[in-house]
Amino acid sequence: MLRGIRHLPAYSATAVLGVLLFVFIALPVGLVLFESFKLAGPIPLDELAEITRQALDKLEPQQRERQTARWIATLKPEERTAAIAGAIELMGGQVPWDRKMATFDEQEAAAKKAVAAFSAEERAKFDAGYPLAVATLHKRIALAFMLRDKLSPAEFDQLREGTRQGYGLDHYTAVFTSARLHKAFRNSLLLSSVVAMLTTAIGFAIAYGINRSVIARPRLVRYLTLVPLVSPPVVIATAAILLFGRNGAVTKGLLQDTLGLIDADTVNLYGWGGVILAQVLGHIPASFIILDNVLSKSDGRIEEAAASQGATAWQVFSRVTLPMTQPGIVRSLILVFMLIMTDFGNPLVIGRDIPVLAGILYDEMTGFQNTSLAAALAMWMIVPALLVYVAIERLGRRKRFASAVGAPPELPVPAAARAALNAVAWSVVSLTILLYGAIVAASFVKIWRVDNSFTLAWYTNGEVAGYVPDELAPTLVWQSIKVAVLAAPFGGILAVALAYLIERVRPLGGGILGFVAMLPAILPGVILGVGYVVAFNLPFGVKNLSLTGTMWILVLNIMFANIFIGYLAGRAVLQRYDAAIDEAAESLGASLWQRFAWVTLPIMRHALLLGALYVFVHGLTALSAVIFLVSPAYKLASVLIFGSAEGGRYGLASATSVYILLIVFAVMAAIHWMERRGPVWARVGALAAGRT
Amino acid sequence: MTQVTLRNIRKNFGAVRAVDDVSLDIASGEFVCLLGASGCGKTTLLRILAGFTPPDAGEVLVDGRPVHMLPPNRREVGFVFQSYALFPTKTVAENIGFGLAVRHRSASETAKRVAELCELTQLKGLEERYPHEISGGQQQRVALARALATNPTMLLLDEPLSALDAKIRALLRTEIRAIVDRLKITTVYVTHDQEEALSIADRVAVMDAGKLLQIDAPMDIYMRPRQRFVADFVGTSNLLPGRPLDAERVEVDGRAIPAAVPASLRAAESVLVCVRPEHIMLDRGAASMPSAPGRLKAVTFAGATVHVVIVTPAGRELIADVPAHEWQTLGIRLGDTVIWRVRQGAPVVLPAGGA
Ligand SMILES: Nc1ncnc2c1ncn2[C@@H]1O[C@H](COP(=O)(O)OP(=O)(O)OP(=O)(O)O)[C@@H](O)[C@H]1O
Ligand SMILES: [Mg+2]
Repeated sequence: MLRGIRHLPAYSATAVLGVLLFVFIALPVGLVLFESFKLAGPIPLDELAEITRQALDKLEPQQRERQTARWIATLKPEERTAAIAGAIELMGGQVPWDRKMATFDEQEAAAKKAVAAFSAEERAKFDAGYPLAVATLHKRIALAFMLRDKLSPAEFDQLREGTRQGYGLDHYTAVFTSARLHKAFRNSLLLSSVVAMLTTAIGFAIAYGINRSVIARPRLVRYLTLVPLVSPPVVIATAAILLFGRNGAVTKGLLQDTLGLIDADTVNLYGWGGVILAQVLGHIPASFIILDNVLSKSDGRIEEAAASQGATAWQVFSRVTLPMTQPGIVRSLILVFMLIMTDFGNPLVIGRDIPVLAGILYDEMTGFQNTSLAAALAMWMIVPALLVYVAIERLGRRKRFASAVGAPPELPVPAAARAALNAVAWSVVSLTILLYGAIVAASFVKIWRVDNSFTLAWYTNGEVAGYVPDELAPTLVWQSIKVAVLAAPFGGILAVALAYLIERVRPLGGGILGFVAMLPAILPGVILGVGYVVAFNLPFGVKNLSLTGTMWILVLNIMFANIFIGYLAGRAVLQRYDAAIDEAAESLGASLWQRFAWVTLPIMRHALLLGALYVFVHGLTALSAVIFLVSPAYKLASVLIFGSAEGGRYGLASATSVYILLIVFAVMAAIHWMERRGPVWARVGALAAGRT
Repeated sequence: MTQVTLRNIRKNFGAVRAVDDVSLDIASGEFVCLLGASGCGKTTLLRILAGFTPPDAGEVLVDGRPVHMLPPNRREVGFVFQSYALFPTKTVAENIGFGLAVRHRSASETAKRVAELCELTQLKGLEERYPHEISGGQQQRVALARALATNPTMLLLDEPLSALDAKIRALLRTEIRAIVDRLKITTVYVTHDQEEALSIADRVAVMDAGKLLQIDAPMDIYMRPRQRFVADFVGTSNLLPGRPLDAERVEVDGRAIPAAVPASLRAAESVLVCVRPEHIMLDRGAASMPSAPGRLKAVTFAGATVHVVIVTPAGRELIADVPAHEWQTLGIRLGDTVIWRVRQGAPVVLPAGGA
């Protein structure tokens, strides 16, 4: 009772925040988990083929022969093309033509060509599988009715509709049972491991070089290294195509046409090379921030002590520096691994021919609305990283070195190492400049390296060479800004309010709230994106509450997916200040609201600003969650960039990217400039003093 | 103005008894110091008074009315924190005016009150500075002015001077006392500095391990401690175990020491005699009874007085304070035999057991 009265306002505030966090974070995530066990989607092709085969087996052999022959003979051309594609997929192959974009005639021709190109052995396999593909794709309904008496109602429905209901682990086991998914899963693991190691190595080299004052122009290197952090999606993959693709400026223009060294049609960066390049460059910032943080805080005296005991430079590095940095290295590896596992943008743009799990998730979500399989795949994406993380925690190998914050060691770095570190850092920087330069260049020409005449059309009405895209950069950039501007202040305030409640009021269950707010930091964006689709399509079965297709679902997603930064910053600030400040205000008669607004908020101004800025930047650049939430009625610039890059409209992708980059840099510069002029309260105080 | 009563207050933090059955009456306008060692529960008791910490049991009555239903922002108490807890983003004037601002008082009224308090606490000219732009002592004054701005019914201060150096501490505590006297506000002041407590308070309440041991005027706390802990904690004492001989004398190590034995202890098997160092007098040669020999073991010069340690034939160490000018005329050296005696009527006889 006694506690009740005093804490009533705090508990009410906590309850409100709790409901918000539950509805917009915990619920979608929980529903994804639930959805992943639901077997309601279409049955994957290979399983469906198996079901069809079993059904066919129920026919008399001659009847089966006759029937399939007639089916094949009566196929319409487009059905035939689809069946060829299906047969190729069933063989475990990759359909060598674009099934979404290309016109039907092109597809048909491509199918013919593909069949003609088979080796004798492949041809035999194809011929054996083709009838089944035809039956599976086009004649299941007929087959189901033929076998009506011999099938149970469930089997009948399953065969007829190609879908099924129920719960189970099938979507999870699909990763092992379906050849297509299995291959993608292996690709994902391989790609993520390679990129995590490369990225961490490069991130370490740059962070180490900067902290040991070895690298020339360290500020410039630092800033340029961090640029991809605030870039719109797939910029690097797009730029890599512009420079190193089949018609790339470097591959075709320089190496083939000018120097005659290579054939750009075969030697280019499509595929593994391009994906790895794009992913490594795109994720160096994350790794760099982690390792820079660790290295700048480690005490150089320890290394000097080792050197004074006679250790060589290499021994100091390998036996002292590396082990001290190990927790950071592990964190970087796990984080980058997880980010690559869940990223579909770059692989889809530059590596269509190497399927990865995230790309399949994207296709399943957007192409087939197969939410359940997508949900299970999303879970699979975080499982490996979580396993590694848990294993490290369990083995007790997680080390925290609470060394005093100290100056870096003043040991000389050997000349060879200096040169190597500079080479790494400046290669990354030059490549970054080159790639972003290509984007800017491509945004001003009509068609990259085909019609290099200058145009501003990509920035304005999109009218280039008689072709008008249905989505224009300015429109979608403006829609993105609207979403980001709406999400940012609310996200910032929510984040610091949560930090205040948890740090100062310490309500019951506060720890759980903090955990829920942190969930989006641990879970990849796709999970929250898929979660929003599941949760808010028909929330609680009420049609009027549906958020799908509105701008608000985007605002909410961007806000809640990113409040953790402001929350962490807010808690860090509050931990630095005396908690008695809040009690002082309370004893002076201030209510909970007055304490928050008048006392805490001014203290947390920086955290609020940082939190809001983070939400804002993500509102402009995030792709992985929002791509499932945009609708024809409301699209975002990042989705336009991805779509145009994937569709080869590089001018539009580039111009939109440049817009976004300019806005992000302008806002960051404005905030930087504001902060440089000292805390706002000091300025307001000085103004007030000047007037009185 | 306001009279405060604590009745059987208890507060446990897990297994720790922070406040253990404390009852206390504070008269209107009285200045009470809570004195005790670190961790004895002073802050906890003060926070219970302010309403920050709900007691596990017991009642707080203000002017006879229970206040446990009131949250801190309704209690009308001024609280001065050990760390000052000034609002870092507000100027001195805004800090002082905060309590009025949250009550939506008019700007002119607030400004007038702030000016008054700046006058009172000698903060004039610092109104537009930020807390980090003024000295520790000035921050302390701001904290005090802020606590007083809303005319609270009670002023609670938690070791307000502990972060300051000795000189400013002495100066500020007289200032605080003067201000409180002018406003005639009921005040509870927590400190672990006995000199501060004795010099500033109307009454001193000595606490140990959550218990309130004795509450009395400063002179009585020093001169007539009623418990061993109080005698030991406040000032320096020689605590000598002995046996009452009659109403006037106690036998210690086979010698009779003049001390008034309270009636309750006359029949006791054993008692403690508390002898303050300044009540032991030294001499060179033989002297009148009652006196005893001892050997000089250690001498520390401390300005106006000289602390000496003597060892009695029974092996007991006694601490004595001798005025410096007397010490010079005595001319004793380390190792010399001296004669000591206890000033008539000065020792206090305490029960022997426990605290
Ligand atoms: N919030 C709390 N949770 C748990 N134990 C507490 C809490 N507050 C105080 N205590 C314990 O209660 C006891 C009394 O603490 P209190 O702060 O009242 O002491 P104090 O007399 O003010 O000490 P000091 O002079 O060091 O400030 C201590 O043992 C302390 O550890
Ligand atoms: Mg205390």
